[in-house]
Amino acid sequence: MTHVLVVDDDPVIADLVAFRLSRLGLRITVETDGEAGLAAIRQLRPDLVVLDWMMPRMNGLEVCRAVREDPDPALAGTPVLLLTAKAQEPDLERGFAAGATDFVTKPFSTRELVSRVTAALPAGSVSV
Amino acid sequence: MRELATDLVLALNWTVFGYVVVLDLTMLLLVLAGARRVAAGRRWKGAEGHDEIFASPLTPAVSVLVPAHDEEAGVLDTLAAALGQRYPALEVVLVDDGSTDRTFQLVADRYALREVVPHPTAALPVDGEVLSVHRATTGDPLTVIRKTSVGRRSDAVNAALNLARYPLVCMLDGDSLLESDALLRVARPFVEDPTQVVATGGVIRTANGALTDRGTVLEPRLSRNWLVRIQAVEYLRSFLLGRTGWADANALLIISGAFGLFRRDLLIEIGGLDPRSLAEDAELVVTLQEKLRRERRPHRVVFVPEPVCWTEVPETWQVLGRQRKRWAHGLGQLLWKHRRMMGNPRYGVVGTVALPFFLLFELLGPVVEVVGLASVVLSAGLGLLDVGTALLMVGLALALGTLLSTTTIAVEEFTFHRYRRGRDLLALLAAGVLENVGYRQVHAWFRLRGLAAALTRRAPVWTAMPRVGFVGGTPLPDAPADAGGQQAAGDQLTRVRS
Amino acid sequence: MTTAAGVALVLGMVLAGLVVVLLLAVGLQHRQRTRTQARDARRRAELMPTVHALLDDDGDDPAPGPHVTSAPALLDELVLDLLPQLRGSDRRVLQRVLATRGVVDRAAADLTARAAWRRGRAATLLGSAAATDHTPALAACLTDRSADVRSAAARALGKAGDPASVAPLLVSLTGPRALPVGVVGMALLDLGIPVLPALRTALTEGSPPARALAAEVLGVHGDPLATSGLLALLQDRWQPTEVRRAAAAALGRIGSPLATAELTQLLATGPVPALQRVAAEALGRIGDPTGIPTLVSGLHATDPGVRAACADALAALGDEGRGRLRVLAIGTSPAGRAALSALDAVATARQWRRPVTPR
Repeated sequence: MTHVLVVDDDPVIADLVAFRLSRLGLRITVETDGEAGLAAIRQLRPDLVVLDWMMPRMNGLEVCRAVREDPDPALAGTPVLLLTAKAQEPDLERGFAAGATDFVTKPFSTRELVSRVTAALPAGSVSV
Repeated sequence: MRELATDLVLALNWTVFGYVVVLDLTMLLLVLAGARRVAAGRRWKGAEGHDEIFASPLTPAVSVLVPAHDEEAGVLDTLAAALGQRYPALEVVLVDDGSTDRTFQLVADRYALREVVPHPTAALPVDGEVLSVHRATTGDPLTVIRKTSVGRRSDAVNAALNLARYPLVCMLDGDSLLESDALLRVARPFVEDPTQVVATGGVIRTANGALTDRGTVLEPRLSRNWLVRIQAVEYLRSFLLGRTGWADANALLIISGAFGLFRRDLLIEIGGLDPRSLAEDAELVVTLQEKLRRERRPHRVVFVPEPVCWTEVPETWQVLGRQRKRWAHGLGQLLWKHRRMMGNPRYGVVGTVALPFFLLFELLGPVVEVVGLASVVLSAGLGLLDVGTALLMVGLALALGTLLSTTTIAVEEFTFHRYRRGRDLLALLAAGVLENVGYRQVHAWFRLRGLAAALTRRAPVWTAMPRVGFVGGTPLPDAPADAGGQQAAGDQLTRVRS
Repeated sequence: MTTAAGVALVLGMVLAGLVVVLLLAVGLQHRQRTRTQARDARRRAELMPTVHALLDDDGDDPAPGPHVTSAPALLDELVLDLLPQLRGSDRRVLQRVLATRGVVDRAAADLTARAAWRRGRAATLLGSAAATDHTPALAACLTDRSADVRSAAARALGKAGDPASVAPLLVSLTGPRALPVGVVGMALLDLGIPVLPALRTALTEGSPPARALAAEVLGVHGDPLATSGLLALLQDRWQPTEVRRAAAAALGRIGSPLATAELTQLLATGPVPALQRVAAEALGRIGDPTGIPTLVSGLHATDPGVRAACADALAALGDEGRGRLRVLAIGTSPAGRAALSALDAVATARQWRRPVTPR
């Protein structure tokens, strides 16, 4: 089963995202801070990470960079979707430079999120 | 002769008693006024929308200036918290002010610093020699200045001001921890009223004992140290009385150095921080108010009544004594320097109310208290003391002081209630009583020495507080659960869905 | 003496009594709060599935069912918390929930309440619920006697998104109960592209603060049709500095080379450094090489801010601008240092923009 990790420090948003994605037949794990998120990525090896930028303990960019620099090529290639309210031009630049696969900007739409998650995952992993 | 002495001593006793009662009652009134305002803000916050300000392209960019001298214990935490602020556009300018420890090395390694040619945006005089300027190559908006120290924080801040690029500046102490949206909160008045607001400040609280991680406060807790607990009550009160009430009258004088936000162009206009002042930040606010009032330029100094910054306070009497002596010295310098404003209606409420208040209650308070104690001892020695009356007076003064502290804590519990553990609250209440016996008197002595230093124009000494760095920690799982994400840490909170 | 002592005794006891009352109040409040919080958290958790189900509906116009209308009042709070984080169909669904539950009507009635916090809260709520049929009532609140309510009304008009609110918003910038520029600016930005024509008109017809703000917002939107109006403001020396500064910044953001001549003129002659800095920044954004000679002479300005802005602008002007900087980047003269520094900044930025690639 395709596994998605959701990391967001706002539990309401994390729950909403988890709920919406679980309806696509994905297995969802939720973490509420960056450090725990990175640990979960290394341990659970999800197929996709939905990552908040602004979080306590370790921000989304740091997590993203740490994933990309991991010695294990399979882990380093994990697609990362940044979910953030930081969406001005320089922010997008920094986000992509840190290795983000795609952006979803807050305020967000759950439909858009579903579309982007589907696009970032290998074909056939989402049951609609 | 003896009769005259009796009359004199008795008159003195009554004067001191009267002063204490007036002081405490004034404070109580100010606390209540502040409480009313804070309480009104709880029903409806007036201006919501931190998210909007975060996302708005109109939000002005901020340069965060961090002077650091031998801060290897906490510099990485402070930087992480500053760079991790939830704010749309900011840069951090760290000044390594002649550190002899590994402060620079730690930062250089963490942020892959690269030496660059500086890009000055102002030409304030700096006494220390700027050795080199570096920039992070990790994508973090961090600039580091290495300079030789002249033993003054103001010199380091001025060096940073010369390289700051953004319209707003914030000065941050190395021993302060910020809430993650601290900048957003104190910047809001600038966003909403960019033409008039010139400075803003937020609430400072004691960080000792709090659970922290990489520069952010996970859960505020009260220290086990009674000296720190008493200071916690002090900080709570000074916020309620000194700040909110004054801000209404646009007479705000002190924006704490631990966390304030200023318009950079104005700081440059007044020539940066005063190098001779021991209370640079209060000095800065008064100088700004003086200049703008004199030139009749519209201005507002805004106080944001929300806790945004946690600072480490002294844990021992010795360090506390040095700190309070320095504050009193600085206040003396400030009031002397701006003596022309005192009582001058041209400077509005600042001149007619705020400065006289500081002179009467803050600066001269310790004189009256120490003289009062001495006179009680004297009258006892002369056999003039009527034990019953004396006890009553002392008891009354004590009760009034306790009422003041208890009111403060009550306001905290009814509004912010940041201390979630019941025992912290009990300890605070006890500290409020203890403050009046012993602490208050010793504190008066410290301040008296500071006043003496100011009067003798002793050369200012800026002694740094020894830093222990913050202890990280994970909130205990038995902490009361709440809907927020406060206990974000720990693997035990991992939730799995399928 | 005895009467004084008696009075003091009574006073002391009153004070002690007050302290005891306060202590009790604090204790009760703490217990109560801990309980309420636990209860609220539980109830919120119970209601979350309802909210999730609402957002899960795929249809475009689902009518909220009876389980929504009968849910406890806490649902309104949950919905209001979530609203600012969502957009598109999700937001519309939640707004419809608020309308169905009568929250919107109650808020509209509250707009004329006596207590300021009620009026303010009602205005905020109408904004979140995007209830455009209440625009006139909200606009009336722009002159409310409480400053907080005025600001809340402006923000709400922005969020509600009715383009008709642009006129009252611009008017609210002046007068005895004027609103702060920033609040109105954010509201205008929230209203989006539909209000651009009204803003273009305000460039000539508005009050000075309205002209400055209109210029700024047009710049943020990068509206090319505003170029001529902005140029007219820039050329007019009788306009207040603030208006000309906003016009220059906006022209830079729009990026039309039509503004190059006027901006170079401003950089060369600008009466105050603040205007010169903005002109230099704007020239850098526009990227028109005909601005280069003036920017190069700007490197010799006395104001360090102007020098830095000119150097940064040249660095942004492609190979030609950087070439000029390289020629100048020698020695310890202020101009040389400014040039060196700008080139250095480009090099540092290159370093971190290189993306992190998986090994």
